Amino acid sequence: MLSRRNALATTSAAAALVAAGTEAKAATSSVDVKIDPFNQTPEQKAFHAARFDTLDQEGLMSFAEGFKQWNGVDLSGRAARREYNAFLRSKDLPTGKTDLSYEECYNILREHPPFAARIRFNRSAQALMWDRAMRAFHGRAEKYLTLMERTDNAGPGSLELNPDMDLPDYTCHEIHAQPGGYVGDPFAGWVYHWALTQAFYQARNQFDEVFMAIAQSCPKPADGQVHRILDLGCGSGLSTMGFKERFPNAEVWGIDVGGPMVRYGHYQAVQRNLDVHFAQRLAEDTKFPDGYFDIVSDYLLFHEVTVPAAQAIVPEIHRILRPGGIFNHDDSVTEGNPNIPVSHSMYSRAWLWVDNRHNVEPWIPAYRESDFPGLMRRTGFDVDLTLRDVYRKRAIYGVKPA
Amino acid sequence: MAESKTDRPTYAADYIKGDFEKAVYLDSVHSDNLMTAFLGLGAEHWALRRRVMVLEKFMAENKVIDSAVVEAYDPTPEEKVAWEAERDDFIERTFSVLTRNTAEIPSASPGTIDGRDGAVPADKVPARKPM
Repeated sequence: MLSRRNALATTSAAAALVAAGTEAKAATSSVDVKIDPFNQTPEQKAFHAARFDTLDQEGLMSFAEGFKQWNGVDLSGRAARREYNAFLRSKDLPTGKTDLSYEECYNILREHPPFAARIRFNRSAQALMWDRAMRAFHGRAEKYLTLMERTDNAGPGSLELNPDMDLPDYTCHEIHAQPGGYVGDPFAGWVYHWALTQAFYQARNQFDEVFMAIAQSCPKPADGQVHRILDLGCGSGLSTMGFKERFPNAEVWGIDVGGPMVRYGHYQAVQRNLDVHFAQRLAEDTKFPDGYFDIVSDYLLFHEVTVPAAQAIVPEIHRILRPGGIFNHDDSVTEGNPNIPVSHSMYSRAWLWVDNRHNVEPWIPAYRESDFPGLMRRTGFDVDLTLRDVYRKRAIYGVKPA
Repeated sequence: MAESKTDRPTYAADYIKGDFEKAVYLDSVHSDNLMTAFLGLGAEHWALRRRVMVLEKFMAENKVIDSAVVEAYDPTPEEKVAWEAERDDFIERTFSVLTRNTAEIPSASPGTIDGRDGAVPADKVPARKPM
């Protein structure tokens, strides 16, 4: 009888296989292990794989993944866009740039039945994804609580939880319509990893490929020295662990406002035998000393925070980076980057409204309208907007001048 | 901070519950609900097909497949109880959405996000507990 891989998803043998490749280089001060995220070896896939407890739970999530892919690609491909544009032209409305508000654009396109159906499919698939994952973890709550309790104080690495911390209201929303959001559900990290990062990425992140790519593509300081790395707003810690795999000798930290998120990240890091430090802290108040890090990286953090919060977080990043340190930023597009202009079409603005209002992205309109590269420059970073061949090709970075 | 049924710490905090579940896109909330249930049925169907494919693979490899035995099988009383519980859970997770009856999601109120679009609820509710 075959036994399913348990929630650990990995074995110490798999961890040893991955670690073995780095041992020969460990004598040097700044080891940089290259892994091709989208072309992993069977051992690397085994190391990164996550599977639900049962075949049926896996099957339900497989459907959500496939359906979201169909809805996202087939129903919004070129043919569909031509149809939406024909509808707009029939109403004497522009298909290109418009000054209408997000909500006005949404209300206009919602009158087009195929568009309304697509939104319905989109929202129902999202709800299905969350609901079935929540049932999987809450249905075996005692098991998953026990698993986390066993590793809360275990190493390698460490976990800092601050349950009495004052959480700014802006962090407490049910982002992406995830029940309880990042802070309010005991299994938020599990659900985020096993549902969102699987289904949202539509079969492109079954082995942490996207998060590995974030770490693998991060620029290094000009002197090549990488001793300390911070993954800011690390969520369930997938990119944090990716940084540790790339830089096994570095001191790697992941901080996030969500206690259940970093708790899960630490749990997974212990299973993978990765020496990573996770802490529940605010991005605008990281508690680290001045000049502590060589790299501070964020992935999809800033569209989840308010503009005032971003205006506090970027100077904090500048403070904790050493001269010559790298601020790696990968998020959705904003104003201020001519290489990736923001779309102001009726279609884009209507979808932003859906994302904002119905997918609980409360801060994404203001983030998109902000000049994020400008904020980086005003804070003191030398900003590089060069398009690089990284996932989604939208990452930018800043260097703290020496 | 929420406590579980066994008073174990969960590190979950109070959060702001969204109102996204009120959204209606089609001609009525019932049409929307039917669409969601339809997706749920698709998910169940695909999960079942995946399981059958796994079963058939192993049954064929081990030469244990006998359709007559499968057709004739009568569940034990214990199996009947367990299967009925599973059936009821299937019905609940797939069709409970049909009972949703909601008003339209409210329109935006200006000023919530720096005067831009996108009002969202602002009141916190207690942290979720293990179900």
